[in-house]
Amino acid sequence: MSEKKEITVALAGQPNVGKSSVFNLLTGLNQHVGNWPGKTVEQKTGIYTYNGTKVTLVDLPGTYSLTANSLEEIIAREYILRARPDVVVALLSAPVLERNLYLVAELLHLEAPVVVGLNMMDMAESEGIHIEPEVLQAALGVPVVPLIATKGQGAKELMQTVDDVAQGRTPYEPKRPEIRRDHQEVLEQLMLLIADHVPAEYPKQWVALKLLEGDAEISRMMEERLPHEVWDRVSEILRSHEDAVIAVAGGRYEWVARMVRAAVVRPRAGQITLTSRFDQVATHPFWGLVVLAGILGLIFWLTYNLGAPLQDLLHTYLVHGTANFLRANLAGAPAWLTNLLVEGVLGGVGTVVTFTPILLIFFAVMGLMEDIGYMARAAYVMDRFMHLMGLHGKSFLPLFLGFGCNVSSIVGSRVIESPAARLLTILISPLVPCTGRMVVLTFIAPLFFGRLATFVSWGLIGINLVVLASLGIVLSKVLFRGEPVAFIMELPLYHIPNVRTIGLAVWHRVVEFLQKAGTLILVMSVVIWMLSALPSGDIETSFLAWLGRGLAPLGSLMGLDWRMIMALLSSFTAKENSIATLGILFGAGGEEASLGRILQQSIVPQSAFAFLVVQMLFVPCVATVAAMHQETRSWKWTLAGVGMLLILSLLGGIVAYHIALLF
Amino acid sequence: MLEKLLAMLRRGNVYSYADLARELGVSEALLEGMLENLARLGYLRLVSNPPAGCEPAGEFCRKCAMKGACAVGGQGRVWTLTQKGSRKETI
Repeated sequence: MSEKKEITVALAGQPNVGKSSVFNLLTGLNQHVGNWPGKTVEQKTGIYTYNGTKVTLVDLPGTYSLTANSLEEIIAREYILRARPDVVVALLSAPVLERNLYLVAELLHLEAPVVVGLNMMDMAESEGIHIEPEVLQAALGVPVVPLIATKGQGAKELMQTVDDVAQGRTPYEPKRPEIRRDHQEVLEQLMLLIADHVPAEYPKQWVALKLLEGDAEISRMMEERLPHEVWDRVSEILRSHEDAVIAVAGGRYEWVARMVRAAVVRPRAGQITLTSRFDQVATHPFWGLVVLAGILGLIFWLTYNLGAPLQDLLHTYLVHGTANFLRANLAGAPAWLTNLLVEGVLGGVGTVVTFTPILLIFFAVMGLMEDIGYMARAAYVMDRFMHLMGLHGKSFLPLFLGFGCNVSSIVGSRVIESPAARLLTILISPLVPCTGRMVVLTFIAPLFFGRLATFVSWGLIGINLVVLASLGIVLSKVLFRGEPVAFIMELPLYHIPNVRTIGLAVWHRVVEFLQKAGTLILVMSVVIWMLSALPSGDIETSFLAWLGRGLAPLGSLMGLDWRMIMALLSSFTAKENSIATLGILFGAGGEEASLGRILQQSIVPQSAFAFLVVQMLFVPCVATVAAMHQETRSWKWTLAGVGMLLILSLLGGIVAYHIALLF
Repeated sequence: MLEKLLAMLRRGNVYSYADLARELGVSEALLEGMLENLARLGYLRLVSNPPAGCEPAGEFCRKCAMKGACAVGGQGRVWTLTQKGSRKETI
């Protein structure tokens, strides 16, 4: 057989494999850039001569596969089918060999002989990935040529191999991906039906395979070419195998996995091992929860031991000090003004502002956890725990670690596709302990429970989560039977925290908190104070007391006096307002003692416990309710959610109080 | 292989790349290629792609101070099963 004097070679590959470098390496300046005929996609062709043969090299557009989903893919496969190049060089990048091999799986089903160019061998080695080209060659059944295009290595070997294959000197026996046995039959059926109507340049088996995959372009082509009755039968077969594309693509991946297992040796790099070692614990169904609980405990412990003393200091200087200053300098002003400022503003908002050290600690620990990459693990563990508790098929991923604010979790539930599952998530969102609730918790718990404060705090958070899961199960079974919700999370490598990043994040959150204090909480404090001062100036005969005493029977079931009930009600505007209202109604503004000490003397631990339980389960703040309405677009569901929590919290309070009385 | 992956997802739950890669006997790199492929076919959807963050909540997420701590707005990619993906198989 005489040698061909002119051959055409197509250069194929996925994006970012270094096709341009290889193209330039082979053709030098002998290039021509234009467009693919009738298309806006760029076409590069070049010429080189090897062994007396003129080689026209055509650079195909970079594509991940050969479906009909993009113009580039159609151009690439059309060229191979119609122009019938003598060789197709499939360029792969060694460090991401397994990704690139998918395209080879598709190419091998076309008739043009394939030569694999394995580029970036140096980068693979430096990443610790060792590939054996000869083994890959044996596994694939096609020639494999290692290259380092950027250093000019491998070009000659590639040109020689291409020449050998094009001239027929080497046998070409590719090991194509297998087609599943049951699909074999379907394929044969299809091939029989379409046999007489397939264009000459298209391999029949390839066309049948593409039809089975639901390829839009091939389907259109065959619909036009086939007589009606034949197309109807073909359509029928295809309709009963609608998801065959999954099996066909899956088969290619299995082939890729086999190739990789054979030819790639991958010793684990240090950083990867460290991450997987931590994750063996951090994502473990049981130990992961222990780690999470431990971190939560750490937050409470730091808060109680570092934050509380700082908070006391702030009270002395900020609240009490300012109160004295005001009293001294406003001697001539009307009494109501002084009282408004001292009891209302300082007592209310002022008390809330003393929480800044506590929030600083909380945000700093959260910030640290998120910067090192732990938060994603926490979310994963919590979600898996929910499944363990019986919430099968539903994922609440958006909820958790929207620990900052329930509004975030409600808006975040938009990632859930199924409307029913999304609604379920929104309804139970408010049970996730937000920072507002944590603030109240971290304030009251240590006052009454001393060294046990951490355990009590844990316990209360635990109660919330158990109620959340239980409610989720009940609602899920009774009301919703939607589609399964699944999430796949990439857990990135752990990394060393960046103090500046964390510092900035903490700063933003504290500023946000202070802004909220200066606006919403300030206004509410003034309103509450007014309601507690009017009409007579005596708190015990004020409007607020009148309202509170009306609810006293309910409150007594939970051991809560009217002032604590009012505090709970005021938390509707913002959870932190509980503290502000307690500050006003218990007179913290005017006193030297901080609100904490006043409360310790005024109420018993059992009442405090009940108060906390109710607070943790209580209806969400107005911002959250607004978000619920916005996302559900239904007052019915929003009010149902609020009502549900109201009942839950009241029941919880009553039960908690009576259980606490036993101790 | 993709059928096994979809079957796992249809049971509902949250999976890490490591979970899926281990079950299927492939590397995480290959798994990510499979996820991208399934997304191109319409069975999966990327809901969080750092640094952009959570896509459905869009602008809201970008302004949210808790974004970094949020499971979906954080440092890794997050995928979800689409309605097409959660249908029963008809193969």
